[in-house]
Amino acid sequence: MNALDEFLIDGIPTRDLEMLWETIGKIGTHGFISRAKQRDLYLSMQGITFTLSGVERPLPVDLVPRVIAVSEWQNLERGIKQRIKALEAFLADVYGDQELFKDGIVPKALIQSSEHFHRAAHGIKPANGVRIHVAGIDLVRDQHGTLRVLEDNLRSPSGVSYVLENRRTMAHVVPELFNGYAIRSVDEYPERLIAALIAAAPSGVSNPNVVVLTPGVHNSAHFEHAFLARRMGVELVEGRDLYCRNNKVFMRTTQGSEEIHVVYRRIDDDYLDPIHFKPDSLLGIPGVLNAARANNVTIANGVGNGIADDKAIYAYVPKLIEYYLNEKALLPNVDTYDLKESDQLDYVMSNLSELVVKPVAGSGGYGITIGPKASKKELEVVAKEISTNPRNWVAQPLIALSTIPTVQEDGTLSPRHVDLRPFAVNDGKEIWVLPGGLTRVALVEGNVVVNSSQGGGSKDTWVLSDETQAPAPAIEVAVLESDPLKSDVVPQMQGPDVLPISRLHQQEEQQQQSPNTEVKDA
Amino acid sequence: MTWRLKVIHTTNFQYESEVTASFNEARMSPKNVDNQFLIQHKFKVTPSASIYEYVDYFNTTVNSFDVQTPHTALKIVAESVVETQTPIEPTRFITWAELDSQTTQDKFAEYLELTQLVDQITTSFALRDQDSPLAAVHFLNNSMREQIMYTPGATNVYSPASEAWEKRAGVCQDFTHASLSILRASGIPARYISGYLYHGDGDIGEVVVGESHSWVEAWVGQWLPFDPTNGRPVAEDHVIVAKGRDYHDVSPLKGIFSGGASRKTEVTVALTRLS
Repeated sequence: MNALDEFLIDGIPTRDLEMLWETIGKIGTHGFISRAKQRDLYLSMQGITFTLSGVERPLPVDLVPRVIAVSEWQNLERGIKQRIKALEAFLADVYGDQELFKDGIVPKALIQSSEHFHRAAHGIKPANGVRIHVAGIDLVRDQHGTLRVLEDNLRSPSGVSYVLENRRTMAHVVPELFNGYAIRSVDEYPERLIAALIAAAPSGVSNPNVVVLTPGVHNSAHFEHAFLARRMGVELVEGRDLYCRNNKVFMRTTQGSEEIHVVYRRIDDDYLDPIHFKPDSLLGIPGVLNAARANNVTIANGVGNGIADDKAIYAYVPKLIEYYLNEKALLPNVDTYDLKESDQLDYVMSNLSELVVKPVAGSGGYGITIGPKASKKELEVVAKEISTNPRNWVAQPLIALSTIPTVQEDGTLSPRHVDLRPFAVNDGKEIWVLPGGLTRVALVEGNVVVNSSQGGGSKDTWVLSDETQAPAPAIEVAVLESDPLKSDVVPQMQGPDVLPISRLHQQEEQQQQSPNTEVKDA
Repeated sequence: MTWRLKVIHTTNFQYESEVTASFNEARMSPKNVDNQFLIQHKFKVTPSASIYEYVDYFNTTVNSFDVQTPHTALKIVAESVVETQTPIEPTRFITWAELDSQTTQDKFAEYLELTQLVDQITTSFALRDQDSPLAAVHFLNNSMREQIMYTPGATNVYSPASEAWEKRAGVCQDFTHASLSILRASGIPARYISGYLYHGDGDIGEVVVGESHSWVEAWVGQWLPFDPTNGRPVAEDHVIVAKGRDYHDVSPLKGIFSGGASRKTEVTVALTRLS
């Protein structure tokens, strides 16, 4: 199975890329070695890091960009909008009237047995109807050149800060690559996000207060949380900075308390509200779920969105698009075997060595078994786990992910596998897709798992402007002198009554223990 | 026969030192459901708190509140007047084959899965040997008291079915969880019912001290309630508050608080037959 290279066909650059290829040639092997050093220095000065298994290191942006043609982008944009629209309708239905069960669209058991179906979210109706404020749709290009959806990320998709930073880094380190290209800007993302969050505020609030809620500095995406808060001009808070009173949410500040109307949270549902989820969670805010239920605050992304990006539901998304929108899916899925169906399970069990098997609950590339690369023993282990609980697994054919030339340590170029995560923002009126997205690249030869948590890198992703007039004036290296990333505006708020960790207790519950009695019929 | 019952469910928490913040959810409001009619419900918290009421996924009325004045005691009183009737005798019974159809199994998937509290238990009961799902339910209802001795203190509120089953001892919560486990293992959808049981002489106006109670509903073509703790059918002396997969879905009061540890909890349920 030969992977398709997006850049070179038989060593010749594809349309639109001749000029870029020429410039790359001019930089040359030695040039790339020294530019890579400049890049590493720049990234570490900016503090752009990603935690890999607990060790902070710069997320390496490869110096050869990915380029997406105008026409292909337009299709992709339409397909992503369609998908999110359908998934919004699905979430509203699942947490509302559940018409889809009456119509037999998805097995009820599939939804109800999912750990991401949060019954506590039932009945929460967001003010502007939006639950998927931010989406990250992961795509891969197969050996035929078709872009396919690999998975949807509708909870707290991360990586958008790297999209913005990669563009700056490239402009700083390899500015000449941009010569002759009109590239759509990615810089308006924070403005789009804050506008969508304001639009999501409870009705009747004229000047809503928005905050970004982070689990804290130890989270692997903390850099991004701080980045987004700063670029949106809102406070970055942790759970202990917020509290609920009378079903409203307040922030502790040095000047007293301030009511909060929209919480852009980057913590998982399970940690959000200890009354409804993990009772020992110290990251969340007791009472916040009922504050959202009463429409006094909006939680973004919505609580319980995980049911719509569950790997077992994924296979049904094309059907959901037809059901809710009466349209055919514009973006195809990767074929997925439903392991609850005995014939499909049989097929998967006897062809494990040719398939990719993923745990339903996993994310970040952990727990994936790639058949052709797995040892006999690894396959035996996974076979045993699948037969114990088929619901926990999905299987897909191995896709030869497309490649793009990528700079190696010795300055030469070599093809490496890539995927693509475009980001979309829904403000309730329009779904806006950030032009490009995060291209992740597997830096190890032949490695097809490209998650940044698995040691991958990324590429600046260009969507060419359809205005044919040449060079993009937007890229100005001088802007970078101000060093926006070095500022330390992460607010550390000190409330007077911060709850000490050891002193949160669970209220004693009442055992139901009515005695057995002999009661005569009265 | 129709009864009118008044239920006063009082919960008193006492704490070792001041509690600065407390967040709670109560599920103590009887349902307007089946043959039952809720006439009046009052819910009061001391120190005073504003109450937010909503209906949850399982169609239970929830009273949610937070108390943020420092306190060393918290009192919650739920007072209801409710009209109850003996459930209508089921008329539609299904066969094992009908029960096993994919449509039925999918429709009631939620009440067929095991949970943390309704876990797997090893039993010699062969419900499938019974002629029909209905016969299996009757058999189970008549057998549970031979398996578990009613023993307060043998288990606690977080005990799973298997624990009571191994100890052969427990209270109504355990009878209910164990019954659910056995029914679900046989493919019979079954749910947890939380409520109250009146066990006085039926004298009008006489106050009877009780506890909150739990029992089972099994799907045999329609939902059939039964009371395995007492090995008897459900009647007008049962007041339905909530239905769910297990205790966790319906717990009468849950919450968290910050400050002093809990010192003492007192729960009383007083039932009066009004007519």
